[in-house]
Amino acid sequence: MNEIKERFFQPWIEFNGQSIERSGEQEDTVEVYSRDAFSIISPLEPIPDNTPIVAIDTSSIKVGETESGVICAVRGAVVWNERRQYRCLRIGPFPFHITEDNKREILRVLGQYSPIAYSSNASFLIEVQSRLCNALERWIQMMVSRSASNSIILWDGTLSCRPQNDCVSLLLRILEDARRNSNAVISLSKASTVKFLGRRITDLLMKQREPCLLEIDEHMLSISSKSLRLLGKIYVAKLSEKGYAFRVDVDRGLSRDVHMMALRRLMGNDSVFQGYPEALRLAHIFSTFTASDVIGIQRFISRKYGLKVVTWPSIRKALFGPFGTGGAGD
Amino acid sequence: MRLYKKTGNTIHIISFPDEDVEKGCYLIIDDKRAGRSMIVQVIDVQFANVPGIMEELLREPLIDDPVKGDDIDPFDITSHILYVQDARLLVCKVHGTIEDGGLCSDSSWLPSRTHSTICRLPIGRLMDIVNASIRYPISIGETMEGTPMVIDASILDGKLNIITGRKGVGKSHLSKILVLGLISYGATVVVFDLNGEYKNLGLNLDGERNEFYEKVHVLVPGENFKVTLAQTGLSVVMKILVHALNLPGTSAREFRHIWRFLEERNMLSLHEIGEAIRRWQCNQQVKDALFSRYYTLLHANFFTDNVNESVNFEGLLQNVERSGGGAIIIDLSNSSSVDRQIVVEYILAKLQDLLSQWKIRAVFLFAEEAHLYLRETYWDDIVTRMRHFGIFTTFITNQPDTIKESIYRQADNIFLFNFVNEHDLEVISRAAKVDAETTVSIVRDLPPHHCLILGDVVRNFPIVAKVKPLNVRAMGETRLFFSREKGLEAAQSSRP
Repeated sequence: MNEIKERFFQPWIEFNGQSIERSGEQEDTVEVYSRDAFSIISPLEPIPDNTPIVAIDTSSIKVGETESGVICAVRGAVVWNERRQYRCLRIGPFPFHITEDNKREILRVLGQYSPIAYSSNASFLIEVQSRLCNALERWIQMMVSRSASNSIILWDGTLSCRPQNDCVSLLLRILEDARRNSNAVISLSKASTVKFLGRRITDLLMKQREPCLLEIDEHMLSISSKSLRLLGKIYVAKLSEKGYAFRVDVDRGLSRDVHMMALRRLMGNDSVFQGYPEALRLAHIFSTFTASDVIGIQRFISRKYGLKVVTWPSIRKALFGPFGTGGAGD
Repeated sequence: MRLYKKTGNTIHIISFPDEDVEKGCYLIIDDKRAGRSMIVQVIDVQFANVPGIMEELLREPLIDDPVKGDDIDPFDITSHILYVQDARLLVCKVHGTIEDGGLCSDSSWLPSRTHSTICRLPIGRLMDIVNASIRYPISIGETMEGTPMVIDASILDGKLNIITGRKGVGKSHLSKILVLGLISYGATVVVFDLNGEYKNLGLNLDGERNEFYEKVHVLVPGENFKVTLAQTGLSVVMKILVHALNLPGTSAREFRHIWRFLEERNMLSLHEIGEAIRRWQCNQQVKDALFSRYYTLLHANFFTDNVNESVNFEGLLQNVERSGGGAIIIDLSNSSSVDRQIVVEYILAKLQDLLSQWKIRAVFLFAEEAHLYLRETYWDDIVTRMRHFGIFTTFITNQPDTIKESIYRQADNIFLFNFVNEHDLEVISRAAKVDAETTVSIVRDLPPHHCLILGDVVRNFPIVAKVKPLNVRAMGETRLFFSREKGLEAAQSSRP
């Protein structure tokens, strides 16, 4: 950030874009082929045994533009639940100045925590922002896996990545650390790409009333080990009676019985709101940037680095007037 | 501080937590490029509508334990976020413009949002700007900045003033400061003291005589304040009978005949009036009416036939004036409603007589809760006719609706203490010296012993002042039953 001292800065004021969650590895659509009927485990009984639940989430947001690049900020949140008491640790915000000149350097430095950040070919600066967010999330996941024990650790997203990226080894290492401390890593996707007969696989549990679990075997999926490496066993889980079903990935390094126990413990030791674990919901809420956060960060960087606030003319606005919206990918 | 928007004569300014701004203070918006500065007063302080604040507030209580561990925030950005969240919106009213070194009332121009600088305008500097030279200073306390709040006694001269506020906020206290300030400059002050709280103005808190002791004259009707009929005169007695005692016209005419009859024979006395009514040839109903008023006058114990027992009110006023000013306190605390009206009629009629004959120069009249003794027609008299004679009145009341709207409109100075009741706020907002929004917004939040001063004494710039403590025996404090119990407890606990 020091290289931008005394330079010009246009605060980003369009909050409609909202903050960007960690993008991770975007999966292509995965089809499920099955000639047999799906086996649904029902009912799924909760185990209330005071197992700690730890949830991790991160987000990033663009806070402004300089002559040479963009300024963004990333923040992570860890929420844990001990005996139904929630605690939160927020990490950040960390502001970054990303330019065409320094983006490789940023990705290289962050590569040790998130190989995907370095190895991927981020052509837009906005992508670097999501890589930064991803790196922070992996770092937090690593720290939590090493420091927590006998806990259920909740991640946002999936436990999969493309094998050509070096992220597989990092993910494996984090999962291994977690197992060593008797933790179970469960990852929840809000939007699953896994489909059956063209429909989302989560729709299969739509008519189920009780909490239940649908097990998806790897051989049922239309993916090859070259295109995607699955580090978790995929389930579709409905964790509460009146709630949505979600794709749930559980660490493949653990046995099927442990998977079941982990999910039942999650149900028994965390509140489940609309079928989604409360700890993970809170982690999302606490990591997300609000508009006042963004204004505060803008104030910090303009104070700390003496940036002069300017408003650069918008070509889109000049050309299209009130119709000059969008253009994020320009 | 940053200029946000202007609507009419209302300006909105964004202010941050470390900027020392409060309701009632003045700001100067200096637009150097335009070569003009705008003077505005903060009438309300609100939270700025910071985007995302609702989300911030909603997520905080989601965590059960308020001590939720330290955030890892190596750049301390959170402090900047909190700073932004605590941003305030100052609602201000424009009070004038400084251009070419002079003050004008123009509020139609727009200062630049980007080039204007906004800073606090201390009251002292504001008074310098309006060239408020003070020849006869009366210190009434301090301004919001802690600087002395001084008004010019000469601006009270010839003026109508109102002091109002709810109970126990310090109205009488300010009124005493004004009384003492005026008499220190040689003014003659007459106080209608409804609760007997001015009678010890000549004593310090510790009971010792102060510099005003010789200048404070307490008159208690029926005790040390009695007058003879000859001193009173027919015109004053007729006013008492007609206005205070509601004597009908026919009976009043008969009384006038009786008075003249006795006066011609040099027999004017209370006793002879009684005898004359008894013997007078007139309608029985007239006789009854005259008798009932006669006995009321007799029982008031205000009139006497003994010249030695009587007070020469006219002489007293002239003495006070000659001896360099003083206060005549009319202690009405033990007088009945009718007796109060008799005394007040006597004094006002006497004052008018003396002033119209130039026997005295001018009198500052302080009237506490005047609606309890002032007849309806006197209100307009006081603000119009009597003012020209030289009676300059200050009304003190905790019921603002007892003062007519026309009086508020014509008041030259208004000292407003706190009100919370919407009805009272609506009444005082009619004061013509400032817009209703300013009055209501500031007065609603005034702490005890703080007042909003409107009018000539502050050159029509509403100023909030904290009234200073007074080292005189106030006697205005309400007597409390449980204060004795508290005193006993305190005494017991202090014993070894």
